Amino acid sequence: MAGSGTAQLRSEKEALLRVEELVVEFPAPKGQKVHAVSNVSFDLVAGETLGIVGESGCGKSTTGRAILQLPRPTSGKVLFEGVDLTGLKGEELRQVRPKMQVIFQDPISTLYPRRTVGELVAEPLALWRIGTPAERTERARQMLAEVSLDYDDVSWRRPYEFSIGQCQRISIARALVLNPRIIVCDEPVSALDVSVQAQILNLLEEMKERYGLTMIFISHDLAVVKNVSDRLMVMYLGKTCEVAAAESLYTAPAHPYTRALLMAAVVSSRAVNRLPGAGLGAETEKETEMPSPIRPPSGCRYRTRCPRASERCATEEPVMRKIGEDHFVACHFPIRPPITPEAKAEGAWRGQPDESR
Amino acid sequence: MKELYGAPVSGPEGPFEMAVITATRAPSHLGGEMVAAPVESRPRARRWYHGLGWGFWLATGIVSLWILLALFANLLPFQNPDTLQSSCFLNASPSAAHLLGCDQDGRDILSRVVFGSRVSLVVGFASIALSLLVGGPLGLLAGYFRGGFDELLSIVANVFLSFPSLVLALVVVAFLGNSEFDITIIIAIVAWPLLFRVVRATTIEYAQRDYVLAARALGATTPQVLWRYVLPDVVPSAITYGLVGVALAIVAEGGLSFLGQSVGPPIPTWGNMIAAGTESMPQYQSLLLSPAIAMFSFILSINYVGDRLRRRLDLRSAL
Amino acid sequence: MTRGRQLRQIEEREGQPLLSVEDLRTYFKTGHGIVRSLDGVSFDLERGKTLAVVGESGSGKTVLARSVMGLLPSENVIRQGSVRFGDVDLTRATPAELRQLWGAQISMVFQDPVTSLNPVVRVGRQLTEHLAYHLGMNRKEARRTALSLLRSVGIPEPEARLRWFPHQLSGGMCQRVVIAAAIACGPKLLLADEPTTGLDVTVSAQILDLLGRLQEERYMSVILVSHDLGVVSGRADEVIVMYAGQIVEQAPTAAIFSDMKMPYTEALLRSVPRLTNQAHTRLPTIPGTPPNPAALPEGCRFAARCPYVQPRCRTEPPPLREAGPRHRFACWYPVGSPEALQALEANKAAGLPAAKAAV
Repeated sequence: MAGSGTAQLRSEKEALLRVEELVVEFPAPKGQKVHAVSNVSFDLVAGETLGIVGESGCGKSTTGRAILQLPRPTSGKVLFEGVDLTGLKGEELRQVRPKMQVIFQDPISTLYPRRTVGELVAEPLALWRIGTPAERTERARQMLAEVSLDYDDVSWRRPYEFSIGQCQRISIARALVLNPRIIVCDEPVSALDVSVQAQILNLLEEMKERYGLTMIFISHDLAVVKNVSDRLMVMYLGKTCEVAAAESLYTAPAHPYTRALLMAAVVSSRAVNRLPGAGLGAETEKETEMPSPIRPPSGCRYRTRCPRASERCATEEPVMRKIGEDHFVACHFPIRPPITPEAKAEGAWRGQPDESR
Repeated sequence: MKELYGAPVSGPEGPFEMAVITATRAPSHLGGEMVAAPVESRPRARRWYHGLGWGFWLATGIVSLWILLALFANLLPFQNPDTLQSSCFLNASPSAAHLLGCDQDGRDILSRVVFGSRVSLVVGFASIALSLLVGGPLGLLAGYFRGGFDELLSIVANVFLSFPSLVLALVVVAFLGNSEFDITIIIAIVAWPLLFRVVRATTIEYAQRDYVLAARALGATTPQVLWRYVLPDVVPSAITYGLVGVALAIVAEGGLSFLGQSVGPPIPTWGNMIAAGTESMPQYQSLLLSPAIAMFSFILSINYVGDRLRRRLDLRSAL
Repeated sequence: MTRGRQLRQIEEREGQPLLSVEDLRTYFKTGHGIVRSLDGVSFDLERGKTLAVVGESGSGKTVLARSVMGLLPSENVIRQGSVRFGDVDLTRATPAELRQLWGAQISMVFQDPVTSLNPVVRVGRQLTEHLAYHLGMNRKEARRTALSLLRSVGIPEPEARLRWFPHQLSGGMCQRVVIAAAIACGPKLLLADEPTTGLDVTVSAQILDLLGRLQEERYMSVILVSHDLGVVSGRADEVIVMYAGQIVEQAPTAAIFSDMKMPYTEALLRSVPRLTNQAHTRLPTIPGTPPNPAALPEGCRFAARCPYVQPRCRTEPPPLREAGPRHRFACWYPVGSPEALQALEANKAAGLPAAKAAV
């Protein structure tokens, strides 16, 4: 898996955001390093939503924050509108910030408890000294209405008087006040109940349409990500496993880890989705957990859990390669790519392991 | 357990939390599109000064009384603390003319205690203000930026803290002298590392909050982040610790002047009065007890005020 | 397992369910009035069956689990109703009796495995102390049993793990240890309160499989509390759906998904994002939020958010009615009935937002 490589990148002119060989490392005790993100590359075309999926510790949130330079990545390039953000100095970087906004998992803790909701939504304008106080209030009123909140009812209250779902609406309103081009959604619905989750997902979709946003949507929930994303990127232990159009990833996952994730998601929701349940694929994941990011396995980082792992996986790191139309995988032994439309329809990932490569 | 709308929830932990979380949810408009909009009006969050208890207000009263006495001692009908009162020769023990009696030099103890508070209070407040002025900004910057700057300052602070403070103070007295100004400087030198550490620790705690990250993502400049998001939480805790620091500084000044190393006679200070009192016991009990009780009442009160405030502010920040 | 000094055996009566909860109510007194967290809940559970309790936060599912256990605080709580566990009424049991039952006959697995283990005690001792207390085992026996327990919950290298501290284990491993402790004395009933909520999907699937296997091997009854219908779907015999402190529907698992009667169940299922959905699919939502438990509405508690709502719903609380074998629901206009369709059409025509959102 879990490979490097840049085959999945599209041409530099197309991309609004282009992340090349991103590396984020944190110091760990005894002079060791946490390899949070290692050599991850991806890009976004304007108006597109990229979903980043993976389990906790796979580096998906770190990737999201590294794009925003919070903190700055250890190495790699983050090209936004052709400018490399990693090379920008403090003030130059700050000038770019309004164009890239972020929505966090826990909205209550990201809203400053000493401010009222009205102040919070107008805050970005105040920080940038845009408009008069009256104009800022007007803009806050408008943005709160966009997220179905009534300014007169909510503006004088403080965040802790609201439910999590309502706080998430407030932070979405605040993120949109500055008219950003890109929004990084870092697990925006993970703390929410199912019914509220649906409200927030719909709201994000609406806002994306209305403001022509480009989105990075980070989540551990494959079903949630698939509902909002055009393209999906699967991450494992700081590496990219697979990048593909959402539909193609679902119908024909090529990476064993993608398939394991899909199987877990399908099993847990098969009754909900009324999918056939039993006999999903012949291989099951070895029952072990993710290794430590301080000492990741050599070669392919997924090999310790991978049912297909061989000696080659320990010595040689797989590199991203194209296996289909807008479908890239980093694996030495990918699951048979669907060649015929029939195989695609049947869902090749439920089929037999593939011995040929 | 969260404190809701300022009212502490009396009740059990655990399963109760579920109920409480829902209780914060507002009933929606009947199936309306507006999602938040709680219909009923709720009490606003309690002000910080509500529910501190009568003890807090009593203590605040005592502290204020001493501060007012010290400020306006000249204007109030006290006898001159430095001159010999003829009435003392007739009766040195407490009487209508001298409520707390006279000392061995025939001076009025009450007025000496009141005037003596001036040195203690000025030294106490000024030295802590000076420490905050030095330690506060350094602590804020060290706590926010961390890294080498923080390490360097922490080492310096630790070096100061590792000296026995009394020895350090005595050494500095020998260099500087023992005027009121000198004593203030000396106590500030001993006290700033403590306030530096308090401010630094609080800053570290608040600078890691998610809303600081969110503000940086919105493009807030570092001064804006510090001013708008970090300082409002650091200042109250610095002030409450400062109040406790004032008490310690007054004790320190008292200690120094007891040893004769602070502002000396004839200017009265609580410390040098206590020192004089110990020499003249048991004839002049009032000479020892009056300044001791004065000092005790002030220190106990200011400690209590600081402690109550700190607890209240901690609770608010936990919200 | 019956030779323990402190082990209290319960008598199971022939033809009676293992657990029988009747009209259970748990109210909390707060500064905002009385919060009715659990309001008249009744159900039975047979030995060897799995019952899933599903609801959103604030629905009272966690309070239900703790009320069944008798794990409620003693102050500011009003309790009513009965919980019969074999021949014991748990609501009347003394604290000493409860302590003998907890861990031995009824066990609980909590949401956060890391905080349910003592952080300064090695994993091995946490297990062996438990065994010594309830089963009166000596050290050697207890250690041997602890090893086999760890093995049975799928922990690799159990000998080494006995010497570890909880913080050295991952969340999934911790939850396995907690489960090992919970099943150590062979309980007849296991309550699992959101056992996989903090865990990753693949790990969560492993833990749920493990619970299912242990339940079969040991012939336990399991109450699986979760906010996620998907999690429980394949693992429970029956599902209870809770809303605002009450059971709104109880049915065999298959019926909940294919033949739900309560509009809330239907709306909840519809709002789950599906893997089969195309990108940018708008999900059907439930508008609004659950009612304030300190000020509950008079009629049906779901009325304000319901697409089928009719005037009657706002005044008369619907009782639990039978819809088939072991299938109960509380609604005046059950999903799929002609009256419900009529009601929905009328609401759509009247422009009720809930009706629009549900389409």
